[in-house]
Amino acid sequence: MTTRLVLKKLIDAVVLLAMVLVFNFFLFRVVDHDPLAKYRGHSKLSQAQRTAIIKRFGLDGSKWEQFVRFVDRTLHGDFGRSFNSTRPVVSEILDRLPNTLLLVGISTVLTIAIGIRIGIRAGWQRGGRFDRISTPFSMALYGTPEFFLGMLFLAFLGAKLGWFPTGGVTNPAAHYTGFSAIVDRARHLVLPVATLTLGYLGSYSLVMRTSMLDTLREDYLTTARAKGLRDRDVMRRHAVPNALLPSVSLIAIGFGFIIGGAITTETVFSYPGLGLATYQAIGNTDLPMMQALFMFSSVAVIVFNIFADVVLTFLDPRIRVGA
Amino acid sequence: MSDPLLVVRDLHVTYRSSRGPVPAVRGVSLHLDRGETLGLAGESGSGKSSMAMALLRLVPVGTTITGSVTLAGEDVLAMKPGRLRAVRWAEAAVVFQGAQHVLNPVHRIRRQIQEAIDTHRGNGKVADLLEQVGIPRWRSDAYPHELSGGQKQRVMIAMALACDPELLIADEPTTALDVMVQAQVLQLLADLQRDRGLAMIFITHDLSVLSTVADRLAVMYAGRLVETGPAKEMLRGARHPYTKALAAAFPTIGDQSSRLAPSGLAGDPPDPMAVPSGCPFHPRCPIATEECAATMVELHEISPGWEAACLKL
Repeated sequence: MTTRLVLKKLIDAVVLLAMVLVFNFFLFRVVDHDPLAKYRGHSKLSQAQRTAIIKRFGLDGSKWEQFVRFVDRTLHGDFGRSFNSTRPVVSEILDRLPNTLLLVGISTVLTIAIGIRIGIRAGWQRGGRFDRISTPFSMALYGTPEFFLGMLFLAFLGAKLGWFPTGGVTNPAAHYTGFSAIVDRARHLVLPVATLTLGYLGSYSLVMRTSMLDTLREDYLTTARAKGLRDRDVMRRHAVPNALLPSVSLIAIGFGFIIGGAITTETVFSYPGLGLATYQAIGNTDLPMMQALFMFSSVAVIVFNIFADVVLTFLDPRIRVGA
Repeated sequence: MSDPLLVVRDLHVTYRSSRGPVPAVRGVSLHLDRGETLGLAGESGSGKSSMAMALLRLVPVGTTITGSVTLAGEDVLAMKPGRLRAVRWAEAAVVFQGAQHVLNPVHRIRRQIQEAIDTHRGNGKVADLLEQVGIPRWRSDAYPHELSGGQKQRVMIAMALACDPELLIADEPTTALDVMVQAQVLQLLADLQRDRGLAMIFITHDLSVLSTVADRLAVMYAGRLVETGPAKEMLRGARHPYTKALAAAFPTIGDQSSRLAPSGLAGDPPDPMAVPSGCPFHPRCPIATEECAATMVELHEISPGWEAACLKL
């Protein structure tokens, strides 16, 4: 059953990716801005040099010819070169990927671990002291843009108190080795991780709380209590497994989004990951970078969605039949 | 017979709501001997389920229960949480309406029954329990959604028997099942009750199903008992006007006249927050007089072992 489900989802994914491919190409060309303006207008370049540059970046010929060429190259794994650095886009992305994975990985694990717990506890004792404090707190976090949170951290904990570095991944002035290099790296991660974690915490805990409240109304919880189970076991064995189901999808989708979309946080902290690369690519109208980055985050969202669907079939037996 | 298994005295159950306290049960007293079956009938909202759930204190947080519930000589309402958990299921188990979500959808039925056994350190076997209710033992790996309504109800019954309780509280166990399955489940409950010497409180809104299982009947209206007596006699000739109306609401099979003229009861059961003065049934009662609206009426004996709360009786 699960194999068939995965197969079906994979076919969906391929169709979706084809659509993303088309969309990506035209989306960035709707804005009529010449990415090579600085070359075209350059007086010291000869006409031949200009044509060579335009050709090199694949911007010669009509939009349609460009599109066919773009699709052909993409299918062959060639995403082109960055207009800005002239390096291959793939190496640009691969250079930054570890930074983003580290940042997003740590903050996602923290967000899930903390957010889900807060939601479970708040929902289980609705209206209790914990709920009355945590829920407004979650809502405030949910409503706060991450970049604002990041700027507060940067201004107070970074600049004013000087507890943490204000940007980058390492201290370029010092040449740490061994353990002190790890400490340096960790110190640079604290503020961006805190920003991302707090930025997403609210939505996880609120979704988990709501889904706990829905589950608490279920008859099987009364059955569990009637059987003489302790409250703790009623919660752990009967309420939480059911209440987690909606959160699994949210976690997976969120994971996919954050990988491609820690844009604001990375930008605020000048953290050289994919988010900052996206921000810079948009600023420079770096078409190949934008196309590749958007493709990458689309793939991330799609892959994690499939992952969520598979995980759900293991958690919820009712899905297995319907698949 | 020694002391009764269950004695309920002046039980009140009051829910908390945003509009204020909701008195769902307003002074119910009853008793049940070992091995006896009491049929508890009434419309939805009459307080019958609230009353039954309060016996094991299975009520939402904030609900107040007063009066006394003595189960096998122990006051349930005074028990500490640990003792209460030990009594739940081991001394009194509940057969919930299995067609609804009373079984956890993400656990196999074997695990859910085993959980009850393990909680009370019993030594029942899941497969044996399932066989007793007519479910083949290989079905124990099934999830609830893989079973039919009737099968789920049987699993619920098997689960209730897991710790060998003395009292079974069956809350609408046949509602929402089709008629054939309903008859099978009723027969199963009646057989188990007889073979195991179980005491049972059988809750329903359908008086006709009680003829198969009940020894005595108790009819509730607006949180109070209005009539209680021997089942057979009461089903043949109810005395309280409310019981009569309830009995007439279900057509008798084979009786053309009752089928052509189903006599429902006009109006709705009263809002528990605004119960009418005097006899709470007087606004809907065909024989009510002015005095019924003014005088509070208590249960009184109308013939040996038969009580009713009606000024006209």
